[in-house]
Amino acid sequence: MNKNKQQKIDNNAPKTGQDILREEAVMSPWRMVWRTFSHTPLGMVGLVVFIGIFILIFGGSHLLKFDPYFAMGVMRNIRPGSGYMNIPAEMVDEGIKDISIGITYSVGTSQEDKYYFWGFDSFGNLEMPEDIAKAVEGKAIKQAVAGDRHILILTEDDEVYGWGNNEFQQTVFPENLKQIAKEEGIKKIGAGDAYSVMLTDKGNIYVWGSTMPNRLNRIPKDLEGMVEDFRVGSVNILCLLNDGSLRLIGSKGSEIDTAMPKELKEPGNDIVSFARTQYSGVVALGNGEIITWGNSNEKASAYPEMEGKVIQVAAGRLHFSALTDAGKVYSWGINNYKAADYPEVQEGEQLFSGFFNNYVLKKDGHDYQSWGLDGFLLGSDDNGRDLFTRLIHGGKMNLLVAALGSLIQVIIGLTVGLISGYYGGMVDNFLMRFSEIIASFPFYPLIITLAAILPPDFSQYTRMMMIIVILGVLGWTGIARLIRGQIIAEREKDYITAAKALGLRDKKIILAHILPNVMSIIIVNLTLGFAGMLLTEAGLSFLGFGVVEPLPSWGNMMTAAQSADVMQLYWWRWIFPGLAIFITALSVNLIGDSLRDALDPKAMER
Amino acid sequence: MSILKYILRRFLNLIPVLIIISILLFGLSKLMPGNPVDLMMPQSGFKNEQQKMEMRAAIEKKYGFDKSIPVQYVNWVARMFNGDLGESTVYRRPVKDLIAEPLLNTLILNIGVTLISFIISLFIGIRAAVHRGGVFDKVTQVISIIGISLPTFFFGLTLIFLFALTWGVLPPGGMPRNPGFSEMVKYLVLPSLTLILPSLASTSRYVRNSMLESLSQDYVRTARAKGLSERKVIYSHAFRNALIPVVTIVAWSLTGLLGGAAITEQVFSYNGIGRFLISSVVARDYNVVMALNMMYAVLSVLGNLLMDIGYSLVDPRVRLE
Repeated sequence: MNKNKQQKIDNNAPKTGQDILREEAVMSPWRMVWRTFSHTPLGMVGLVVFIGIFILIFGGSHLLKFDPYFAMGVMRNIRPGSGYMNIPAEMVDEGIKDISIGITYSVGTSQEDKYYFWGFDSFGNLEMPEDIAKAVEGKAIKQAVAGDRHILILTEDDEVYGWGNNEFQQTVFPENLKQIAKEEGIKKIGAGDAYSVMLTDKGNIYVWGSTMPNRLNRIPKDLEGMVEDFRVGSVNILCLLNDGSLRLIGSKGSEIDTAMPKELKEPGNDIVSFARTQYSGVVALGNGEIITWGNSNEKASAYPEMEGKVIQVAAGRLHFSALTDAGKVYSWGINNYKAADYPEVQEGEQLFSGFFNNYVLKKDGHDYQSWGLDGFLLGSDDNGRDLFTRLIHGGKMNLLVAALGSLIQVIIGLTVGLISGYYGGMVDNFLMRFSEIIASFPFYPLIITLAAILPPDFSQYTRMMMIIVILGVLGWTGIARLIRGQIIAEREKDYITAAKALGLRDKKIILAHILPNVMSIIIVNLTLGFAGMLLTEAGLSFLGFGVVEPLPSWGNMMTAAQSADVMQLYWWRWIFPGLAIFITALSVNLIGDSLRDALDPKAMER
Repeated sequence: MSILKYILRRFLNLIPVLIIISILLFGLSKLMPGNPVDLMMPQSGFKNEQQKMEMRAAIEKKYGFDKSIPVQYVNWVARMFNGDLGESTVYRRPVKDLIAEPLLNTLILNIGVTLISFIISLFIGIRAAVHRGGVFDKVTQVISIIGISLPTFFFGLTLIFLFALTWGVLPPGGMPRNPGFSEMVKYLVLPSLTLILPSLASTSRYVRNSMLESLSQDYVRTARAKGLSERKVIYSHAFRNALIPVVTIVAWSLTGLLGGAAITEQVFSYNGIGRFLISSVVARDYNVVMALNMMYAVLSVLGNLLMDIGYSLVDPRVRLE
């Protein structure tokens, strides 16, 4: 009712002193508050930022799929960056011949036998060193391969050059292999996780780099002269022999070896194409049939219905892709980092997959389509988890804990304050002594102690609920005292005496007459308490007593930053969560502060 | 009511409060997972089950775990009164000896921080209040909101990142290796900065608000009307009265700082009482955890009492309540 009247006046209100008075007289208090608030620039900035954060977090957590238990060691600590799959335009112009995929980057050769690198150099050592560039100048590059963190190239005169991570000497082509390469001729090279492979024209395979833990230093004697092709994995190599059988060398015992169908281990298969993930394998036979085996988690056999005959299979770390003679591509397996979100493709000609990326070539290599991991917007953490996703889901956790915690705080504080202030006497005395006891416990130490008491067999969510309750139950005393003071002041006023004289019940007086008068205190305390709770929860989780791994929270995402290595080398892992807490708390505090000014007209007069 | 009577009443009020706190804390310690006797038992080396049981019974008897819970509580309180805070199950040393050094370290850090932040806050708060709405006021208001919104651990980590790792001018944390004033200052600068910012932010707000309150009082108007210089009005009339609530808040925050510095101490590996509490909680060293919590509670109850007494001395109206 008031509002309608107000609008009319507002519309044609001439700005004279009298009208300002009239305006104030008819304006409802909440409208007045909003008016004052909306004229506070900082408060409005805070409100806009907070709404933005809120939408980002609650919208984002619905859209971004998230598995807290996910871990992919090979993708750990990757710097923020994107564009992993953007092949240079010159290479596309020359025509793409071959692509090999590393964790955040790919390398390849063009049809003019030139070497290309694209994607993201997360470790800053993947650019071709100058001495190598000089040495290979003018030579045709036969093949370029990408390992997890190193790159090898093979030149036309059977020289192998490598650079990148050299912890296990995987980039240094050993002298004895140089000799062998001269004698036997190199057919193909490969790069795995910290190891490198060479296959000679005579059908011998040689491995260097990190070969001790995976036993790749011992190549079985009976493979001599037999190897036709190979696919590298993290700790073993799947070899295709020239008699049409498959053999795994290196670490054994996983399903890629134990679950391999018997007939594939025996000679005489018409294998057109083969591929392997970490623990599974797939083979395309000449008759268009495909055979899969391996770890059931990787769902190798769950391939989609495909149009046409499969002519090529490829695989990344945990997913498979296939190309059919209808020119279509399909992906299946574990869909990490969108690796299996295959696009609609027409006239695909050749397929390349590796780690979490896929490329399909079209038009004789002059066009391509790609799918998979395009980059980590804010980097990845030590388990290869996308920091942005964790930030969104961690923020949800933080906001929920803070919101529920401050709500509990205010509800208890309000109830105690109302009762204590209104009834006074014994009740007041008892409640205030009680709140004094609660307030006597220093907040942080007690919370740390209580969080440590929570039984370890609690589920993550029960634990979180308990933390919320603890935070709420310990923090209400200040609000109770504030409200009590306000009520005592209100209690003596005439309108309450009048209400009492009218014979209204206590409940009615408290709820309908007194409560609206303490509403402003409640709202301000709710906002400021929320900001404080946000910081408390973050601090608690930072110390390892709040939300604990693997569930993310902004606080526990920063715990690792206590080591100098993480702080310096992996700065994105602590700066982004820290900024997130800071900006959120700041926006809430700005809102609360402006609200307090808006709700307290006296403050403006002073 | 005379001041003595008031103090006496407040003091008597403390007794039930302390009793309840101690019961709660004792209950908490009984709720903690893991049995302290198990922790003290040797892992192996028993000839047979019989010997193990005997050993267990001996430990239980020695530390009084064989008694009923109420008896254990009474014993614990009695020991506390005698200044015996028990023995750490991890270090096998009296808690009293263990907490002495961290406590001193924390006091050094916190008293310095509180003093510095108090002095700077006075300057900022008064200036902001006197020139209310001016540029200085607005800038400091914004900075203080930033200060209370900045998570201490993030601020601390940023300081370490900048001063220790990037520029290498200050140690990243830890305790001074050799005695000496300059060495000590070097190690104290970053943790102090981390603690000062939030404390400065909130204290300067209190000072400002309290100053605004007293500047709007009638006695200030009277002082001005008498023709006193503005300086005299602000410092001897308004400021003196504004100081009362500020001092109490600062005194109160000192007890809070003891616990609240835990995060800062952890970030800077500063061997203070907060960090000691965290490591004791992690190690499930119950006696230490209980003693520390009890100490915190007593300190804050006493702080509360001192604050009330101080308040009643300067503002007699309080005593009537």
